[in-house]
Amino acid sequence: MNHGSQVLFATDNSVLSESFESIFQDKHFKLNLVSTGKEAQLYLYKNPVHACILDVKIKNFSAFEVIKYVKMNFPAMPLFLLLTSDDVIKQHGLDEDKLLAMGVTKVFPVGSDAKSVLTILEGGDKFNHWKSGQITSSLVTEEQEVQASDDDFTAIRIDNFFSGSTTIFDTYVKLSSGHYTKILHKNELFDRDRIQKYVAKGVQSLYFNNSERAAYVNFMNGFVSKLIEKEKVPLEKKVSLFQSLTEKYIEELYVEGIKPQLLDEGKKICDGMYSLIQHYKDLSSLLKNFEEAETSGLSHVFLTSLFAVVASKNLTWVTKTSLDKIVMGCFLHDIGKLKLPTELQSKRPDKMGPQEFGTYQQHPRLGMLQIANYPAVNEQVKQIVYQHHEYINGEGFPSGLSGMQIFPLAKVVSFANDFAEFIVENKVSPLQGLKMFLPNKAVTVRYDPVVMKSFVQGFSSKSVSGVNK
Amino acid sequence: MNKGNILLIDDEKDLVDRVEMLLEEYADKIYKGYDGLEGLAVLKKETIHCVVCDINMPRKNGIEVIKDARELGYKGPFIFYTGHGNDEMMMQVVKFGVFDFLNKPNLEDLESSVERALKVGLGQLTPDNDGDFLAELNKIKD
Repeated sequence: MNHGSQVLFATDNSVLSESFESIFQDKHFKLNLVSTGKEAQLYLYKNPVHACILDVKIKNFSAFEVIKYVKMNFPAMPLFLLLTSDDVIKQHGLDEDKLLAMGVTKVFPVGSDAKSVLTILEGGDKFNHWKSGQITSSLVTEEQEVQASDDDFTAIRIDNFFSGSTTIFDTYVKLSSGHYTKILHKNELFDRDRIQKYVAKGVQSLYFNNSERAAYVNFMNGFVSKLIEKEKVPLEKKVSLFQSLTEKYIEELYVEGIKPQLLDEGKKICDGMYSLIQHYKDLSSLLKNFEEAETSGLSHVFLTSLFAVVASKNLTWVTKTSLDKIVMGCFLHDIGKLKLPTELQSKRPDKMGPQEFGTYQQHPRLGMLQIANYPAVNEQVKQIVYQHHEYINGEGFPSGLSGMQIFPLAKVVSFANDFAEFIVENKVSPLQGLKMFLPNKAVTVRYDPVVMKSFVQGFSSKSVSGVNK
Repeated sequence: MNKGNILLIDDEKDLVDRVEMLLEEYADKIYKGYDGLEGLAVLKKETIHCVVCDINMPRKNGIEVIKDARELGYKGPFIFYTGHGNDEMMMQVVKFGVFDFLNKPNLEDLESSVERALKVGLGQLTPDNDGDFLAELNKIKD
């Protein structure tokens, strides 16, 4: 078991420990129980632990002694205090603010249950908090100029910006580097006119703080899934929204790490893409008109995922569960590039020298090792990451596998990955790309012809869905 | 119709018995080996169409089993199931051609994977299509 998933719970309350054990069962975290503060310290000393939950009433080393011990020895460890009674903190003259100042990550008030602790532990609050946002004022606050680092903000195309009736995030317009105007304030009535004013001025992007990115992903996942069957919304617009959602998702995944809640959001994106591709019998307009692709890595990940879903549409052996693995494999396939020297991360392989290319060839292995510590990531997903550059003619890397040796799901991603790269590099539509890519025997000899045929069929109106039998 | 034979190789006897029950209906015969050596001995003697193998075993681990099996001339599909933390081993094992990967103890997808592997092992799997992607491309109008 990976230490990242180990959680220590100190309580001498057997009812509480049983309820926690039942809620944590089969979850991504392994719960380890101890009944005294002393045992808690001993356990933490001997074992790597991701997070610690303390019942405020534990004895034989009080909860406060354990808090001090944790903060001194493991300052980065998330530490949750469960107030099974208010009396103990009152006796010590403490309140929530003081406990937070002592280094407690989160104080759970009396009556909190195991589920709420698990939600916080999984990072769920980060994703869902926008749902509990209340309109604090029917007035719309004036715009406000702020100075902040560009690294703190996530950009979104203005025509892909949506909100509920309440403004979900503080929303900014960039004036210049490090200089922004907050045009919409969180938890106020959403003012569409204010957005329109900036559309009219030719502003192309809005910004929100990176800390809101997970919530944005959660909000957009729900929003986009509702749009799929709306016939009035053009296919290209739906795909563009999926692209925006996927790009923010990948940013969150790569920057914040692989968290269980984030994997669930990824599965929702996969479900959405799958529904979209299933909903449209004829994807040919997408083939001709989709020109959203940019050269960014995020755009590449989205295109790879989209093309892999299309390629899977007519493969009878791809089930819905294996499609989930394919899409998650697409999301993570290049994560190993983050471990490459910065100058290689965005360099095209055909521009690399032999030594650089040798280093570049390590990224599937680095990627697999990077996700190795996450038990929530399935072995099939890891193998897609590891084998996404293998070619059926044996000229791929890192293992030079050929034909049947290659994991079938990785063959789908291998083709989708290279084709996505091709159309972006050549600045062509998918249709133009197909007409250039497929007749080139020197190139197509690398890929499973059945996957390529299924991909072309996926775009034609005569396609018959093979997934989900 | 011939359903094919499965070989299960794992030192966890309880798991082997559970998997055997799960897969009974899909195979003509299910053979068992409780470690790598036993598994290879069965493979030499019997006709096997699909191997389901653990990675971490005493005497011979999964890597040695698939390597020896391939040297013996067995070309059929191997499905590996693995516990957490065997990533280095899984990277080695792929060199010998692995049909599918499953996670212990959650054996989701085992039945569908074995069903398909048996068809591949028996040579019964009809390709989804003929792979003539250029003919398909020509059907698309500009």
